[in-house]
Amino acid sequence: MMRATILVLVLAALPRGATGAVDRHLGVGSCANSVCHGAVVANPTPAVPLNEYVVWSTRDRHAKAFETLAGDKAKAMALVMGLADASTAKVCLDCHTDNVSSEQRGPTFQLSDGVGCEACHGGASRWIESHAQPGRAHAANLAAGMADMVDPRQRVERCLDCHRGDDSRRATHAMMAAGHPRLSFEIDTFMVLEPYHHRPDEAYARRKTITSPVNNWLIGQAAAAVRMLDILATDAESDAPFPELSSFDCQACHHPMNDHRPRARPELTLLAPGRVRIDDSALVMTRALFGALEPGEGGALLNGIVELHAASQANRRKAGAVAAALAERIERGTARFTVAPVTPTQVIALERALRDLGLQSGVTDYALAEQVVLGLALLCNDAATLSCAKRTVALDALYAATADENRFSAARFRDAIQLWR
Amino acid sequence: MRAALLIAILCATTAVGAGAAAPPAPHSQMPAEAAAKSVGCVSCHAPTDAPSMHRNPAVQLGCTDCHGGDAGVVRAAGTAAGTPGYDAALKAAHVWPRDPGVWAATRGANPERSYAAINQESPEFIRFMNPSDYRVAREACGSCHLDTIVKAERSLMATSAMLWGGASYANGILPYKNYILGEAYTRDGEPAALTPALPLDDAARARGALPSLAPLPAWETVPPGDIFRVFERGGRVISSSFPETGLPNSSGQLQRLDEPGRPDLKQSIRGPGTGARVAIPVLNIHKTRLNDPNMWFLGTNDQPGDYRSSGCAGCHVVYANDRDPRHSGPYAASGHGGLSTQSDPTIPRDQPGHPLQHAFTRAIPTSQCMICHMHQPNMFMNTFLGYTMWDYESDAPKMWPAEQRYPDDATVRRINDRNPEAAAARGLWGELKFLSAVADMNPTLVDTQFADYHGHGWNFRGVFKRDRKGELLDAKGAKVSADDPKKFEKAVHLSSVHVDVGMHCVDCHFSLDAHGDGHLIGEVAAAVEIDCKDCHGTVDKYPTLRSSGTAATAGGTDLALLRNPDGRRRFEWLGAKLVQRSMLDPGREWTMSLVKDSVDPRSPGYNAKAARAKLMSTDTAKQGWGQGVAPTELAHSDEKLECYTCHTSWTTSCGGCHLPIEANWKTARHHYEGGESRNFATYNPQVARDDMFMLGINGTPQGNKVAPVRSSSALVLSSTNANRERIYVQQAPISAAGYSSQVLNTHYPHTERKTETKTCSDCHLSRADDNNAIMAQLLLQGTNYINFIGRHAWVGGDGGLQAVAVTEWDEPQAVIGSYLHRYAYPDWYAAHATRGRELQVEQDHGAGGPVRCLQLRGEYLFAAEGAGGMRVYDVASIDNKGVAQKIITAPFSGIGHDSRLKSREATCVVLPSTQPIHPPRNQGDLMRVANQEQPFHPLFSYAFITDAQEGLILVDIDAFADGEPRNNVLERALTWNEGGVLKGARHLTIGGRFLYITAAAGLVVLDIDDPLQPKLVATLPMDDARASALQFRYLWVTDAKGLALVDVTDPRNPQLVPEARVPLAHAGRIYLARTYAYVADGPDGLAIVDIETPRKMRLLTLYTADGALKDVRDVVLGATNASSFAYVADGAAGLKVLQLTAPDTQPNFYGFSPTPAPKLIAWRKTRYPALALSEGLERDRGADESGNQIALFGRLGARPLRGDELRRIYLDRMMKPWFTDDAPAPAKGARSAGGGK
Repeated sequence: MMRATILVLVLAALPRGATGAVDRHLGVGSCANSVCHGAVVANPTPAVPLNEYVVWSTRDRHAKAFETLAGDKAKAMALVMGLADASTAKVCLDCHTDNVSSEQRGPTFQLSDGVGCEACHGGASRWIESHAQPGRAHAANLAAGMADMVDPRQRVERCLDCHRGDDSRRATHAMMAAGHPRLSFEIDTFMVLEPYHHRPDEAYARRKTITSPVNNWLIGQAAAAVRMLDILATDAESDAPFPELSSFDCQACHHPMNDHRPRARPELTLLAPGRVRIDDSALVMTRALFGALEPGEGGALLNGIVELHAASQANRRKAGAVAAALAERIERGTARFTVAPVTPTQVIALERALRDLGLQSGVTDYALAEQVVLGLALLCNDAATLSCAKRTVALDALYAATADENRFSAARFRDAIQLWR
Repeated sequence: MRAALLIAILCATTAVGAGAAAPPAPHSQMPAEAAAKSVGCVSCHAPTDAPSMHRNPAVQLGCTDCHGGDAGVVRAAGTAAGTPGYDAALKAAHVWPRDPGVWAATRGANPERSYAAINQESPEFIRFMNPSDYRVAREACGSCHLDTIVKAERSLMATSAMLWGGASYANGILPYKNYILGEAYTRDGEPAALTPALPLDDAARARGALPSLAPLPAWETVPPGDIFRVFERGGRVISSSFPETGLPNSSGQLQRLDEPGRPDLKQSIRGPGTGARVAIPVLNIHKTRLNDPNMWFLGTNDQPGDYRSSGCAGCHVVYANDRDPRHSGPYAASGHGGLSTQSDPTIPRDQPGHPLQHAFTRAIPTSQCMICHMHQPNMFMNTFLGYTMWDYESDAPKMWPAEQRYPDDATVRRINDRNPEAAAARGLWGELKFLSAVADMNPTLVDTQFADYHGHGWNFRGVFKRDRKGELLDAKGAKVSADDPKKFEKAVHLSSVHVDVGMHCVDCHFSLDAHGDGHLIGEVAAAVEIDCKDCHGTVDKYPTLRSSGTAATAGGTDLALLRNPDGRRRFEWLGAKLVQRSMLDPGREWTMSLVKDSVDPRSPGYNAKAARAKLMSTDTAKQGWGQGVAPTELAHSDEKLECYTCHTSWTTSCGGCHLPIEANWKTARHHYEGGESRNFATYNPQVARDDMFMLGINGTPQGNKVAPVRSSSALVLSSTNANRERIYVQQAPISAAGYSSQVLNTHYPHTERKTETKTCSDCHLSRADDNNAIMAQLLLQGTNYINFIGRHAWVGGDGGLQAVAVTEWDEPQAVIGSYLHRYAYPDWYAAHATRGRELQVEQDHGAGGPVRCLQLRGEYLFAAEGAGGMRVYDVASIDNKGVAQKIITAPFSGIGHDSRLKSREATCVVLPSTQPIHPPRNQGDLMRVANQEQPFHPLFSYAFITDAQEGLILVDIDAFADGEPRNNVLERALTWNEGGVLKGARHLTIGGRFLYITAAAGLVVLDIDDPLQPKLVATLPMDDARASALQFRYLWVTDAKGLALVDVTDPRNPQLVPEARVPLAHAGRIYLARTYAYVADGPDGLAIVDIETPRKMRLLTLYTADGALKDVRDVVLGATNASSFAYVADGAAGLKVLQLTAPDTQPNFYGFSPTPAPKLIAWRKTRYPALALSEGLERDRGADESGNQIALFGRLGARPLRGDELRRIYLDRMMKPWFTDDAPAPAKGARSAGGGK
């Protein structure tokens, strides 16, 4: 993948290169012992809960990811895609399991565990023997090859690898044609729903950094945007028809013929009517959020998005170049806006930006509407500044308006967000 | 050998090696830190299998973290074993034992039979030898596993509370069914008391948790619970022959006040707990090898099936014990000789007693569990593998030496130290070499197949599918000929279906079952968290994969979380199917049978037979079934029945064990302080059957559901004192609850099968009415087939009575002249044959008249003597060579003490139980509330006497079981003869609350629900009614015409069955044993009548032993080992002993009711013409026909079915019987199947 240079700079200090490539994955079973991470009841606070395996196994859908491949729907998909068996096809296993190479699989590694511990935390072969030392610095574990799932950027990158895709893994339009659901992701919401298998308490804080949900969200939004741009840039360099259709907004095409949607968003002004448009929800979100924190940045990003849409109609090389440039800008913004904790004033600004996005720009696409709602819900959970209590009616209306992606109505969404005011 | 010697020398020096206390192993450390603690060790012990014992690299431990010792001592390069440098390093690095004689000579192997020696060792040495021993496990394992250690120390596998508690309660030693005894030790090997590791709340109490367990060292201090006569007050001269413990005047001179002519047998004048006036069963627990050694001790490490360590390693470190992959999984390939496959070059590969690997595992094979669970009181698990105790008879020619052995004392001691069976000293299997190869003979055997494990030195025989006649059956139910050389391949081996799919114990029993939850539990069934439905679901719910058994914690264990050692999920739903993956074999998984599918006609897993059974309605008239039956109407709901009540192919029933104590064997204690003292009891299984199926109500912690019942721990005790006098002979103790100690127990047999389950006619009346005997067995009423007739047959005579010795005294107690006698004692058998098969030993005593009825119970013989009335004889000294008059009439004093009840013409005396009982013990809140015992029915306090002139006489006989002889005086409680209906009464049968009396008027039925106010309920006129015998709902009666049948389904309304008649010219006494009636037919011999279908009964044979039977008056049956014997009172010709089945005459001898093949094997012309015989001890009669309990049930709240419960099994509300068919008929009577319910 062509990687945005600034991201490389941002991550250069971290031993990212140490993870993944060589370490052997020992399997969920090597973590699941009842005196390790398999405690049925969480360790009393403050301490490592040690029930991480149990949380993962009983509540986390990642544990069922492989099982999904054996289901009837997966069988039907495999048939359409011409795969013999979804549960053995690399294209499926790459995201539905911790599909490391056979040399990287330890003796008790089980592909059938789906997205297990080491899929995110990295192969344990070099750190399993030392990571439980009392007082062991997190950095020392990282040095031994543990992936940094504390750093919010690295964490979201790991999620995006599948939840957006990377250069080797992609939920393609062909897969979706076969029945794969649309990808959708928002880091903070998804972590809550996962659910957390860590406990950000005093003991955690002693060893690791706790990122606020709002910062986490901001980082996630920007990272998603960058990842989307990376994919465009990568596609631009390939010989494949550009771009892969999954990069486009689904509902831009997939809606009833009589559903003529207003094209009120400024980003789309240069896009001729009827043209298929890139799924820019992450970009629009980033533009709105960064713009709220620094109004000038919003304008610059808007220009970039407009340019990207235009380039997407021109040629792939141009689109790639614009995407790369825009990614760099977002990375710079990320470095500027997300390192320090978001202040209460900024929270209010972010909330208004989202509201205004809905009110003024016209959220016409489901993917964007979804992110707006998730963002508003997340912000009003920041009880110190905002409160959902006053906005339950509006929030319920927004949830209702986005409950079904196939029946999404921009008008209804606008009515709902009016209530937010 | 040289190395062993060297080590012994090293130990003998003053150096203690690296014995200083090492710090506890750390919770975690860096690999380098761990390596530093192994530096010296690995200079010799490398490579080793799993250096930290844990396969998971997350665990970082150096050698000395666990073992102690000095890792700083490094073997000098180039030095090898035997060189001075090497030996010096060895000496300095290792921790040395206090007693090198036990420990050091083994070169690190677990010693043979170390038992309590470990309690004498230093904690440092124990830690060096086995860091996971519970005494020191906190130091080695505690930093990670303290919680588990605390639980495991309290688990039944460590405390053995079920044995201590069960034995003390069943033997009348302690009256607490919430057991108070259990075994535990401190770090220093001192006895420890235990309290629960977590609060004892009401919920825990309800599932059987106990507040504390106390240790019980030193058996010598425990007073006797037994009521045997030698324990009564007295014993002035006994101290000369048995010095009293702790008595300074050891020669006994002060006490010696011998009185001429008065044998003083008693054990002590000083009161309970002195002399030998102690609880002998406790001695057995301490000394005889029962289910010990428990987890506090090493395995005995001396025989295949005995190799293991102690503590955590007792289970988690595997030894080579069994070559059968079904038992040992992948470990089978390593043999069964306890040899190691370790990579450590210092571990000898040719020496038993080393683990296979220096590595912990959770892949524990069944063979490891079998080391302990192969014995009755320790959750007999041979059944799971399809085996039960061998009985010395099957394939006897291969198992006994051709020439009789006369082992000297040293040989006996050597063998009995390894194997507590006395018979082993005479058999070939007493030698390890033969024992180890027993299973290799299987292809050449004709009667059975043996298992490849031999814990305790025992042999276990395979159990195969058979019909009720004992014919082998294949999977489709077709008969397999006994002559077929491949019969054991064709016949179904009745191991659990779980074993057949490749499962081991650990595939069902997880951490909580193994370690407990920190509560103290008294009974095994209360310590199990798993339940069938957790994995199989119910008729309306798929499995939850949450444990829900008695020991399950709130919400249960989430089985879906479990991971196998290979990292796979143990349980996983794959679409609609639930798979389980093997703990031992990474390649193996199986699909769960789902109950809900089995009863759903739309499911591919539908099974009409299963659906019918599971969805049968309680409406016995319509017997509708199917999905439409409401849950509350289900006859076999899992709320009412344990699943395994039906899903059981067979149950083991150990119908008796003989424990003869011998004072002259000085032997070691196996528990607590160890050491040696006099007394030892061998352990001798008598009758182990696989053909009995019985039902009862499970314990309260288990939810009081209907469950299978087995005979368990039916002991008889004997004692031989220092002068080799037999001071009591084959006596059954009485339980603390007053019930018989011939204990029955609700029990999970672990013999689950898919095809060979219990079916309708195993528990309900069959349409053909051919299961009357099955029903009698089922309902614990007994079938008289496994009754115990021991050393003596008791024969009533014309003018006297006599005891004839019919067995050898040595073990096995073969019936003289029998098949077993021929193989176990070939010389003595030959001598017996030379003597024309005449029995040699008889004791007798004159009587006040003809003894036409007599009954032995305990050490008393009850005899009806005509004009002499009814007399109770004291026969305690019947086999005591120190007593001249072995049968006496005055148990307390010859002066004015007379245990005789005068009556005009006593014709018969019958006791409501032939088992010793003592109702007065069963009173008060302790029994009723705490112990949850039901009260005795009042009728059990009496002896019932018929008198031809006076009618019915009742006399209270409780005093004979209270240990106080001075009150053994008989007084009439009742004389009843309303309207003279009992004129000419001559015989009596007790069937629950009803008496069936033959009298001049015919068959007279009395209701004795209030025993002192009998009610006449029916009189059935018969022509000269003579005797009767009862089996479930039919009463057989002899009269002038022969054998008649009376239907007593409703005893108030007895119905003569006119079509059922066997004409006999001289019909007398009847003995019913399962599907045969044995009828005394005077000069015509012994009539054997097939009564399988009572209404179609027919004469099988009229046996005269080629004319040897001259005047048959009475007959009783007894089972000895695998064979059935008839004892015949043959008038003036005396006693005749017939062998009814034997492996050579009846190959189907393991059947429920094999066809008898009678053969006269012994006889004696008794002094008084033989008229009657005493029935044997009824070992399968737990309740009477009214559901009144007789024998103890070993679980809290468990009991036989009560009257109303047992009636529901076969009677409707109008008391009319209803019938079932086994064949599944189409669904009917239920909504979904189109019928109306």
